[in-house]
Amino acid sequence: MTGSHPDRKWIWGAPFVIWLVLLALLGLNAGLSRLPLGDGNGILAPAIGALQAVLIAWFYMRLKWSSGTLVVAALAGAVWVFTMFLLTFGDYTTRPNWWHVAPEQPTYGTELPSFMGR
Amino acid sequence: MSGATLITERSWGEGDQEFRASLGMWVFLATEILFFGGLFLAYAELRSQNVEAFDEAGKHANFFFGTLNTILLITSSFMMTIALVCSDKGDRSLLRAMLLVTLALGVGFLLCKGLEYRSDLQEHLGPGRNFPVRLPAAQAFFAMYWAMTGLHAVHLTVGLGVVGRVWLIARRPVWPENFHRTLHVSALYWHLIDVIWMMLYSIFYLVGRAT
Repeated sequence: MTGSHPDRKWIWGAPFVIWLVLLALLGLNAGLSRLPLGDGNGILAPAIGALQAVLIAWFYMRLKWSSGTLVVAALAGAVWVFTMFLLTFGDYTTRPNWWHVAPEQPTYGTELPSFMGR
Repeated sequence: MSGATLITERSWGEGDQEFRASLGMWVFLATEILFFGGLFLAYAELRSQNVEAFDEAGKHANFFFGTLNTILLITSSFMMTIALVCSDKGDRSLLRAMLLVTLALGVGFLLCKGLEYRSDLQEHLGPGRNFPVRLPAAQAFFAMYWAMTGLHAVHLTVGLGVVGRVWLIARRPVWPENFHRTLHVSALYWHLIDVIWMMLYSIFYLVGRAT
């Protein structure tokens, strides 16, 4: 094989487009982080990061062209992580005090955890 | 015929060795996702209780090195994908070159990470006295930062060994029968390092920038 491999022009095509999209999303994420969007900043950044992660998994890790069994195996970890988040914040956000934590009173580092004070 | 079509040329039947190797690697990667997932959950819980402190601490994370490293990793994943397509097409010289570039980008990531850590320590953002952020919970942000980016760097170092091994095999005049399989599962591991970094970048380097 030499530098004039006849198929090289095809090799770069689709992965190059995905690379450009990933870089564009990085620019978008970095740019949006500078805009004062309130709570939106804390949601948008990981959401765009997650979109980039999905693009890498779907195209670069070839899930798009893999069998259903492989896709299920790949999703297994993500599904359980999602379940952990759902259970934790499903509980937290329905507690009456969760919404009333004053920003000027951080809960970490200012007082002993309750189990240590009893 | 498009590039996307070329990628699909090598179809995997459920019974063949390549499928089993991929399945094994994906199951392993699922455990890695769960491993980091617990840390992401811990971060989310701490941040939900200490939004102001985390936003304040996030301003001290090094945006330049974080962004540069993201570009390096995205590009390394691109190079690794090209290497895989080269294997599909039998383009050996380009495949070796792409693996070498992937390795160089990975080493570049670690070098930038080292410079970033040095800068962080000079700002007293590491464990110890003289932590510069007034809010106590900001220390939780940096505890998570050191733990998660450090673990990621360890994974990347392992990834360099994995890709380096494939590169050494690719230099042989005759490739072993299982070369494409080895390359594919190695690429999966390398890409996962990139996947995890996408999340780390967005939670450590972008928070608090607008406030």
